Amino acid sequence: MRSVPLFGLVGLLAWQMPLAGPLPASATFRDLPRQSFDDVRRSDEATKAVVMQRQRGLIADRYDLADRPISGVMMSGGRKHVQGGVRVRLAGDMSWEELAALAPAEVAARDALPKGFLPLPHVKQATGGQVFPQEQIDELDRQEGRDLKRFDVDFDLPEAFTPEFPPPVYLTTHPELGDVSQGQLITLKNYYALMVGYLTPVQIDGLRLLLTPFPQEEFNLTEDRKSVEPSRGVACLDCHANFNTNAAFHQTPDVRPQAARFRLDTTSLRGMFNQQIHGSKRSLRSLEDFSEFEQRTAYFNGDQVSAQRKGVNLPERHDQTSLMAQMQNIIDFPPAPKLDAFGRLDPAQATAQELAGERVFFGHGRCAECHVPQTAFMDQQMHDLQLERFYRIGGTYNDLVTLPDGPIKTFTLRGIKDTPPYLHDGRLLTLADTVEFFNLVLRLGLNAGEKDALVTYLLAL
Amino acid sequence: MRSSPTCSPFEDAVMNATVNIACLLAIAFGGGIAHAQTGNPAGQPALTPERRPGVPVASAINDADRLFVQQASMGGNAEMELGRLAQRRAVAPFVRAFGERMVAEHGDAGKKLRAIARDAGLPAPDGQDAEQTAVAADLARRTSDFEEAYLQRQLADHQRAAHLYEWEIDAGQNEALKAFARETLPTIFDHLLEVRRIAPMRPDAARPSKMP
Repeated sequence: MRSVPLFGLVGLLAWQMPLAGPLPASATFRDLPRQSFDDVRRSDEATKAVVMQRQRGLIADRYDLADRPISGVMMSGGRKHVQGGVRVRLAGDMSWEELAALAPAEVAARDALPKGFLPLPHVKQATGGQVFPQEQIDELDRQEGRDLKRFDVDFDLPEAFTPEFPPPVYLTTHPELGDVSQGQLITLKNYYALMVGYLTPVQIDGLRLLLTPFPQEEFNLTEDRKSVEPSRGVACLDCHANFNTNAAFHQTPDVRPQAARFRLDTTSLRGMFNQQIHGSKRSLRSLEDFSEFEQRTAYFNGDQVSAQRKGVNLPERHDQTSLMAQMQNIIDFPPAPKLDAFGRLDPAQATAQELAGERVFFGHGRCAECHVPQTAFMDQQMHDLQLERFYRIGGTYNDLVTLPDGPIKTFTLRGIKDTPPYLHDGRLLTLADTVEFFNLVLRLGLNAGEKDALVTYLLAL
Repeated sequence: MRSSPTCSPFEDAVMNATVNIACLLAIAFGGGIAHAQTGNPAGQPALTPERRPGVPVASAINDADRLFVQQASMGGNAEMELGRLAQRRAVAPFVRAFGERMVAEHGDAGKKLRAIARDAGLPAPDGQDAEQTAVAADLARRTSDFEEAYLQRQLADHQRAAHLYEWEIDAGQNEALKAFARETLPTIFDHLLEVRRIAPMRPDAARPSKMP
């Protein structure tokens, strides 16, 4: 049967008119609250235990959460072990090898895709918003007396699967110094003492802005908030702790309706100097653009109307966002002493297992086709993995409607052991999980030895 | 229709602060027990009757539920009428088969929705809206381009239906209606993917009378 475009054949239909949906504006815009703050808080607090129980149940159902660090492997600051092993649970009795041997349609027909490979719901999909790990909440409260605790939800992943806290900070302008954080979380209270002398005036004021809290959807001075007290807001580095990540999460600002908004795991800002597209979906072309527009997106879900009501801060383009961008652009990756200037392993320093992993990375694993070592393990592209070939779309998990991810930006792999969980929504807890995920999705057919070697190689990056 | 996976807590868990086994089982197996209020209470009408603090009575209804019942019912009715039309008027077997599937599956869903809506005190409308009526009349007049017009309309209708069901899952309040939306949405997407698959097929090529 020949295929031709259908719609070219159909002329103007008598009833052809814009099919404006019947839905009210709240399908796109944020509604104003319909209850008092006290009533909202009372309801949220009353249901919080059940909301958390539901989410932790889903996570425990999808993943093996046991504390099983890889022996002798620490994150770059030496403060936290890297967790090992595949943690996504298989569906039924099938092995990983048996699963990988199935065609995508067969995986879907048998409902055999491990649920941990599906998009991970926000802890409370209907409300969404920024959720911070307890370490960040406690340290910020101690230093600044600013409370990032929400009365409706808590952070949902075990601490073993988040980045070390606080993460080390490396400057491209001072590679000789190593970590300049002095083991502290950089905040508005200590940044000046920590950084004066190392940074230029432009950089240090950019840092100040990145640490200054501004109103945000859940943390603001209005009745539409999720903090007990009216809040001064959040700062960029509340999520990008020490320019890395603390695994705080949010929802994509780029999708509606709310049920379809996928979770976003905070990305690290290390190596931003080499990144040319920004935002998992938006592909903004400069860090200045992104720093400016985050006030509309990470802060207010891409809803400029709500932002205006809550006191949005719009950084001025040539004297604020440019400073913020210049500060971010001097944050380096953690040292990787076994890599040469082209991102390749130095055979004199690498182990046989790491070198074997690099061969898989370039060869059978096809990783280097997007994660190009010479360009900081990125390709400045967005790609669509088409995971939906492996499952029936439209299922609802904790109020998240599971839909195709579509194209997502290629993330760097430099310093990757420091930034669990993985993928844009944090659905994979370990590097071994990522290897199994891509082995299935790209239909690679890696054997056990190749998978192990790949994980060892990734730890060296 | 296959039911969609879901993972739901239920209201009784609110009453009992301790973790109870039944709740864990419900979470593990996504049982069909009433789904607790997990929306943003800020959007809930003031003085909504509550079963327990923070938990509206399971039968509570909000504006989203009302709109959903109206739109989903009329949309389903329209699907059935157009499906019957396709069975009569379409020449291409794959279009007739699609119409037959629409009649059967939207018929089943419509029965469920009517029963839930009746229990919720929201009678589901029997008919269609003015636009749907006009579309049906227009399609009934068509001859050679019926398949193209029908499938084009099916594409738009299922896009819109998916949007409506996603919206109810988030914004609705009545637990039975939200559960219906969750369970039915994967089938809406099945239909959408199917119409996207068959729409580019040239009906002329499938007509035996026009085959060389």
